[in-house]
Amino acid sequence: MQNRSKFRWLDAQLVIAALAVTGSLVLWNVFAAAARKPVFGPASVRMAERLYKRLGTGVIATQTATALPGATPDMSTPALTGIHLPPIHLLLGGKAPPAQVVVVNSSASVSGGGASNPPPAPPPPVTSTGSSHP
Amino acid sequence: MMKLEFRAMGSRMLAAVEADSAAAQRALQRVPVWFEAWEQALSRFRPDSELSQLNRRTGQPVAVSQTLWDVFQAARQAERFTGGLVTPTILDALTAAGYDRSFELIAPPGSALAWSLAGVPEPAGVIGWDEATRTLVLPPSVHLDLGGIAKGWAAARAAARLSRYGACLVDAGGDIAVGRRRPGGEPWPVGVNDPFRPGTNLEVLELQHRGVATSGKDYHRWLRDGVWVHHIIDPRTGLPAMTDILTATVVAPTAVEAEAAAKAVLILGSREGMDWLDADPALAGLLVREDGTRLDSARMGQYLWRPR
Repeated sequence: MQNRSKFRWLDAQLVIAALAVTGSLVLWNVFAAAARKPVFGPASVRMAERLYKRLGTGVIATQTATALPGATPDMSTPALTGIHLPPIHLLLGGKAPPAQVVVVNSSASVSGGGASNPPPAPPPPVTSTGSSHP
Repeated sequence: MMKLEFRAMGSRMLAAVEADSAAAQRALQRVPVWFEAWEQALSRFRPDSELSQLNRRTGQPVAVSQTLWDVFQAARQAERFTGGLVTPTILDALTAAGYDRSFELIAPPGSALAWSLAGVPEPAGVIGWDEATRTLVLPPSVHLDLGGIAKGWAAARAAARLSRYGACLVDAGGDIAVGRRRPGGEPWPVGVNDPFRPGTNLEVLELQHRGVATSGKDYHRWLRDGVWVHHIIDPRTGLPAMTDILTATVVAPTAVEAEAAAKAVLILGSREGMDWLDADPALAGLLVREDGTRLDSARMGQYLWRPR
């Protein structure tokens, strides 16, 4: 009899703990999403730029930009090579991710080579023109 | 180089500047805000835009913002430059053809919407305007669509603003304004999409102080009563242009001229269009025809990347 009563109390403790954790997550999602701030501040941008200049290669993604009201965010991720800052994904709701300023290595173009080199390739286009895509 | 991609005016936008200063970065972050303001003035898809309000108030003088005024004047110049082939007065013809909402919302293929004809659009010359008061008067039968001209104008305006911080390029949905050479004297490499192989480029152009744009019927088209219809209206008929060109890419001194010229060439078709391009020393073009063949104008070679 006493054992059965103790068993029920443990069950109740488990249920209370589960409800507390779930409630915390729900409240966090509701109230913390609206107060999100950019992950990278100016200081981390400068640090990334210094690192970029020192190493002289690779691509560094930095700084979030102003959200565009009413616009559908471009979800495409630039192809990054070299140094990678950790990808940041906030999955708790709130507004769509804003556009990103991307710093790229400007010396990536290819110029002519010698006889033993592979044939030169065109420089990677910064962008391209085509019919307006929706 | 710093660059920023975002969406506006129903298209993908890109702004790039060869600078690493904090001021340049701040300016780059303002570009989407500029485009939002321009779209709010110039979009025909937003009922509360300044352009939509102007279109609802035909027959009476309407004072307009500097932005709408500037783009209207750019559209008038484009009309003169193309001999009337590109005109802002085609809105009713576009709507009649079924392009009455943002493209992604257009009725799916096979919709039973009735085909209607709006008739031949009148030239922009019928619009009354007064520069001193920045006032426009649309005749009751005229409604404006500033579509591609607005994108070319926005690309050029944004590039002009960014040029204070360094060499720059702004791509407004394929209408591209290219600034001065990059550090080291390199021109800007810009790809030309292959309409038959999405995601690949036919060519890479090397540009500086130029505009480039592509007009095509490969994306913006829809089925209307069993007939494929596209958004390039021939003002001579009021109907979607009957043309053998799938895409026309034109390099011109400005993005607005490139946009207007690309559309004019597409309307003219490959033979007349090529003659028109070659007659103007400021223009060069690359055409892809429906049958897959490609034509380059006489001056296109100077912009194509080739091994040195």
